[in-house]
Amino acid sequence: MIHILTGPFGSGKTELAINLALHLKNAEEDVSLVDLDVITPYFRIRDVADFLSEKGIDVVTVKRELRHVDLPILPQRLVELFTQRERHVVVDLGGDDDGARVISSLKPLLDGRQVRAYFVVNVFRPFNETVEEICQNIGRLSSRSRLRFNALVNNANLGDQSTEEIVALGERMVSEVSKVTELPVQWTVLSEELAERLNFSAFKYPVFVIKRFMRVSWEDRR
Amino acid sequence: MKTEKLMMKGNEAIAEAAIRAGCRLYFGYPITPQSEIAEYMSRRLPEVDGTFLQTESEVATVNMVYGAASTGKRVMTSTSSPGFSLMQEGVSYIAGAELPCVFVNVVRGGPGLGDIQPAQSDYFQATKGGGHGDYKLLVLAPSTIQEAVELTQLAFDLADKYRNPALILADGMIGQMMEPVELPPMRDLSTLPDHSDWALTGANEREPHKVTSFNIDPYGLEEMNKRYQEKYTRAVREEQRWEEYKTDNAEYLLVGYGTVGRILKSVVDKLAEEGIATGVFRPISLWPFPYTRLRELAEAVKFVFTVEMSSGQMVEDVRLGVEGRVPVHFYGRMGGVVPTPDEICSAFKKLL
Repeated sequence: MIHILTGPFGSGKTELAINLALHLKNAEEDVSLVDLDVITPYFRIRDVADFLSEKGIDVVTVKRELRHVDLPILPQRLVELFTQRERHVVVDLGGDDDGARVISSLKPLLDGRQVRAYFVVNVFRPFNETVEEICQNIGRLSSRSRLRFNALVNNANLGDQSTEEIVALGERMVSEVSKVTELPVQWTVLSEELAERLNFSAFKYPVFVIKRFMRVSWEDRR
Repeated sequence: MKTEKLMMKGNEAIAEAAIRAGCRLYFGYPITPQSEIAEYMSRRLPEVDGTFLQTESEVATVNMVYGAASTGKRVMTSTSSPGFSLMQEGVSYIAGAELPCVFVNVVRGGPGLGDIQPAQSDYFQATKGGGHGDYKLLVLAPSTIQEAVELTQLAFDLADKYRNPALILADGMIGQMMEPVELPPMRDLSTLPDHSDWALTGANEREPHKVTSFNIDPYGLEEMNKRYQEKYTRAVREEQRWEEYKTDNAEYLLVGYGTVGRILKSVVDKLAEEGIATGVFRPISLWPFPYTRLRELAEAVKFVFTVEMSSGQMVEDVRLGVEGRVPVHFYGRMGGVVPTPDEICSAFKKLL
């Protein structure tokens, strides 16, 4: 199964990709996590690659000596990976149109394979603040990526200032988007910190609890 | 349904803050780690009847900013370290011509091509004159995304107040990290300062205005320079900005700006758990540097410890402020390495 995470710039695809890979790994599956982010210069899978490798995840990213190069380099082994049927392959794309375009170039490898493409959205990100904007983004990214999306993911959050209301507002909007696009909602995403405090029954969609990996060094203050 | 707060990258927040401050003109050339500013402007400015122009180089950029600023409109550009070096000639001309405008330098590792990781090694260039001549930039250094919004707006106001270019000096981390922000309302353009007494607005039925940075008569040029210096003296008096964290009763003072200022707060909390009373002095205006308050704080501590993501640049201003009252120590990381709270704690404790 190939799981592809796409969506607008900064919608939380990388965090979700890492957590999805860890979740599948915990279910004792063979998991590869593919870093196809050619957009973001910081906060990428390659920055936590060593930790993930220790967890037994096959991290597919650019060569170590090229990790900090400011060029849109794709990792090797993609052909081999996308043709292995037993494996779960989680693909993290870069944001917006240019990020989505990368997977379009790999379409021949995806044809005939089991693919689940998720559109991840945080309604608190610029240019994703209305149902209309989100629907337009879905249409545009679907055409750029040449993917047929299977599901939406509600990742409404304001970082450390997230609350139940923030997440619930995301659910209401994503639910509207779901009606318009006829795409089901796969998950509502909660950070570990928030999940500890909230009752999941308050939410309409299945909750996926994630640990945040893209942190800054001073966040251990609390 | 528009939300009150947004999750924004520093670069996006700076761009939106500029638009809300009344900036409708942006010229720029992409460079990591600030390209999101240009990207955001290219999308947003057409929506508000503004002009976004991607130039052929930073040299072209700065001269377009020079021309646009001559009209008295709010104008900005953004770049990162090597790009700002390329702009220095134009920055000096703009300061000489006394034009308000805003520059953003999202600093990366240097010198030379360096790398794309966050750094603070452009402090000298920002505060001591990167270009030629006796001029100063009004330099502001944010340490959170919310503060980046506020300082971007302030930068436009200060640029107008002093008819002088202002600079947001942010390290790559501030540009790239994402935090919740509350944005100010859109500024009504009719409330912006009136520059009709000097701006180039069309000389129909009036004497032409002239915007220049030269005077071939040395006495005349000296008079121009005196005028600049009077402004700078006033800015030193009125524009020193800083933040303090737990400085009451601190036995040791930690000094850092931008991202490091923020890391130092974690350091102070960690040291407090071990019973060591320290406080943070975080300069917000790097020029004018907040010497006055630093001098007062230095009186009450055993020593001052400065941390930077450079080989030690701001520490020279810290020493000027402290004036030898107590020792000034330094710890730095270079090349785009962000120090952790733990390593700073260890470096500090070695000094005890």
